[in-house]
Amino acid sequence: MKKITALLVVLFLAFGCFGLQANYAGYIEQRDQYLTFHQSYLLAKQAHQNYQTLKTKQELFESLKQVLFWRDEFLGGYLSLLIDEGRSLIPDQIGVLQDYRIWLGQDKQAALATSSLESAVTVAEGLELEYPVMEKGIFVFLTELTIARQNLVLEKIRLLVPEVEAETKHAFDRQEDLFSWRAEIETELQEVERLQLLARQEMADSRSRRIGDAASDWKTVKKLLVQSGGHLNTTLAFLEETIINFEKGILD
Amino acid sequence: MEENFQDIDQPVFVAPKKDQIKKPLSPKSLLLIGLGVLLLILLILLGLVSVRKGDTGLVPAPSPTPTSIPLPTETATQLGVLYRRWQDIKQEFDTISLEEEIFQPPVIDLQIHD
Repeated sequence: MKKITALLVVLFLAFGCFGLQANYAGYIEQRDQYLTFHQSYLLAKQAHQNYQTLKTKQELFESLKQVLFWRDEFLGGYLSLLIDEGRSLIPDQIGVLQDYRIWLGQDKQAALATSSLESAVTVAEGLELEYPVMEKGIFVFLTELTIARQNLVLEKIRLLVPEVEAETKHAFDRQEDLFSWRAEIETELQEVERLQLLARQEMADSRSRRIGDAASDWKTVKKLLVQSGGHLNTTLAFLEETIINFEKGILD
Repeated sequence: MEENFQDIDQPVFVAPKKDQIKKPLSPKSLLLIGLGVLLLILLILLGLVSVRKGDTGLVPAPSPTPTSIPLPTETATQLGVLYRRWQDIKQEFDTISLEEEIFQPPVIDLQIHD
């Protein structure tokens, strides 16, 4: 029975990993397709600007239709990757991304239904209007994903600290030393939370009027998240030092 | 004199004594030997199975005396257990990276119609 359970667990994990890998491979393929069609579109655009014939116009329309379709595919693939990553950690945050994916699906159908260069241009403008909001949503999601990953580590550290303390407290010469040890760790962890809060606030306050607004604010948010990660790392290094030094008998 | 030569040439047959005659094995002895052989084979097989499971039945050689103070991972103390947990947490922390592909949203041409 145990063997069967273990086998099922292994199969489940294998298929889970395979699913993620397949999504990633699909995303890379979509990206390559988009870049190929985008290149063709640029060539067709150049040709039409040079010759202005009905033939070059038709070719430009066909290539624009293709590039719009694959642009939505590519973005949709990226959103699927994000949804997969966030499903277990931040399930309450994936709804927004699912809405964007639905919107992209409709936009893709609209692109396929176009019958002239003018109508294709109108569809292209749709994403231009929608994208600043979508871009902000993506960066808010990335912020939350990073915070959730860091918090998993933070919670485990919080569980580990009292146990390390219980094992080592008799080795401290004075009670004050133990208090200061505990306070040092707590300060570091509070700093992690403070920086995470700042990052979250910064991203929430980000503008989404123009394309690139959120991407610009993400740079600041990313720095804050790297700093909070740094404090987690410091706490981990401090705990390791405590454990090893206690083992060597030089804690005090 | 002749008689003496004849005596020497003739083979001398000495009848074996009674206790020197090898008797054929009795069925009971054969059964005992058979059982003994079977037991031996069984023991060899059991030994092979034990070896395959990793139990050689031998007393393990003492590990070399450490020249330095062992890391907590090498000790069987509660602190060693905590150190291993620390290692797991550290490993999880190290996987968090903002440089992953997923943190690089696609760059697309939105000014496509211009």
